[in-house]
Amino acid sequence: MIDLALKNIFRQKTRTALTITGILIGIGAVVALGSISEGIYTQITEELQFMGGTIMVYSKGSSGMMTGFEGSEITEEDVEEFEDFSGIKEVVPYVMRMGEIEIGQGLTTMTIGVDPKDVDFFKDRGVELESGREIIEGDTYQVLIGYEYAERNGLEVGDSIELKKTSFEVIGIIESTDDDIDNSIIVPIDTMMDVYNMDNYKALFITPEDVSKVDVVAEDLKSSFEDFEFVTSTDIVQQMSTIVDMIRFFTIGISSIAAVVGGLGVMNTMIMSVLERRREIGIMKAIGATNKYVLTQILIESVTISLIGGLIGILIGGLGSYSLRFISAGLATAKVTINLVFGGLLFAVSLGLVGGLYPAWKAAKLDPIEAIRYE
Amino acid sequence: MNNIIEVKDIQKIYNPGMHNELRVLKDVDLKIKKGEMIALLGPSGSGKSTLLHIIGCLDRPTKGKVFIEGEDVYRLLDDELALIRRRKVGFVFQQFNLIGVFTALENVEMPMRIAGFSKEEAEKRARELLEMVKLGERLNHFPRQLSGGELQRVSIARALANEPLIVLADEPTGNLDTKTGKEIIDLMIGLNKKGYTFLIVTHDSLIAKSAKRIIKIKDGRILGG
Repeated sequence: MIDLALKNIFRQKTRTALTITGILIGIGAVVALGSISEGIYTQITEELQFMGGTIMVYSKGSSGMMTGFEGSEITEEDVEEFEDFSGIKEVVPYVMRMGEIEIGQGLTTMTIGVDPKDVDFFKDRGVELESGREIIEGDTYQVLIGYEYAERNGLEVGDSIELKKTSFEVIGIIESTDDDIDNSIIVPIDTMMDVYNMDNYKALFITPEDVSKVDVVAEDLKSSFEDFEFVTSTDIVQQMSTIVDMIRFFTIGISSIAAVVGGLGVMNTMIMSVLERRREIGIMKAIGATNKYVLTQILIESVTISLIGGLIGILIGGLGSYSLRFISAGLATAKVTINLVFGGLLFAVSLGLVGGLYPAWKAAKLDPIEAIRYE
Repeated sequence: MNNIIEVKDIQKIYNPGMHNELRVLKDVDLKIKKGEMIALLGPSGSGKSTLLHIIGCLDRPTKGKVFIEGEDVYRLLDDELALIRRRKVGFVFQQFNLIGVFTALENVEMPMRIAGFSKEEAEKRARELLEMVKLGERLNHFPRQLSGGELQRVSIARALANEPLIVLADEPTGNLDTKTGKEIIDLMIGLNKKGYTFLIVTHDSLIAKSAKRIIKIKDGRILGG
């Protein structure tokens, strides 16, 4: 039946091509726009993976991670207090500085200060070196740089870079992680605080003894320390998912309208096709085609049209989302997920089914005697 | 019981109870045996085409029964009737009713494709049938490239595709000149000799002469037979 369906739909090549284009635009838009919200979601969850099982701490009143913990001050005494708190395994201090926006790149380089003794904490969270060596205790004016930062500036291990008029030696390049670390410079924390004239830490990562109790420990900390914010990945996911859901609703919602219009195109085409083929359908019924056979035949035709449109749409939408990544130089991360691909296909098929149902039903209930008489 | 088809007390009334009520068939009885070649004669409007459609499971009678191999067919659902048309009935029409976008071969394959045969099986048998009606050279021609006589040969081949119990032909020579008509009649006579049963609605006196049995119908009633 598929070979007959293909033969039938390509009888009117222009009309079928236009109908396919309608579906293609709709499904393509769903995939391309949908991939933006998926990209944002993935970016957030990937960043959160870094904090998985830990509690991020910064001063109340600071605006948090997105602005580099501007205004957050945590003293050495605070760190000791946290270390003495029950159920806490490790406290990792952290300083961070957002760099200047580089013109034409739209990218911000972050300078991050970490304690060489905490290197394992970062290694555990998937930060690996592409080349060179890790920062070790005793390092001062030695830095690690992110993969993209190195690429962009043509830097290799052994080269030197300048921060605050101070020269640093690049001792290692971090493997690409597809997140902020790619554009970061990692400096031994003491040197960084010295160079940037910082007296206090910006943030801490607290690891509880029992990682599965991270949310409980965070609650305990919240009730004991009023001057600090304690954020777990669960909190961030909750905050962000509302925003991501809204973006998802708008992108997929609006593009779905385009797809539904494409579905109406399929319906229109199939109605025309059934009208033109009245006589032929009557003949088919006279020589033994059941109503079910005719119905199935027309539905296969309409689903074939929408499926072809859907497949090309997914391809083009995927290419669109991929090129968006290039155009925005990695700032807008679009991600075509398996869910989007299958969702898009399923959407296309259901448009074909729904659009084909009415014309198929019309064709099935055609009276063969009348259709044959009809000239 | 060697009647393959039995028509009992058939009535067909269009628009019953309305001012334009039309009684097309009145108490028609008919028995058809295997291997017969029957000519159904009558003036236009006598109801002969309607009777043919009713026997062919295309048109439900208002009253009465049709038994095909003992089965009371109009007790069946529409889709079950389609299955009987598919397996037991072959239609040949005056207007040929071939599908214009399909080749002769594909047109003959169609009833077999509908019946679920694979493309290969259907094509093999369609080829044999077209060779039998002497169209072996015209397999891949489209209907618009064929003459009237050739078109009617294709439709006879199509009617035989699923080895029907009976071939119902509605004015098969009505659109053909005398010479071509004669060839089609000879083809049908030949097929009848091979065992196919024919019921032919016609005006054509030549068919009437060739038929083994003649049934005359007038004003919806059978006159003789």
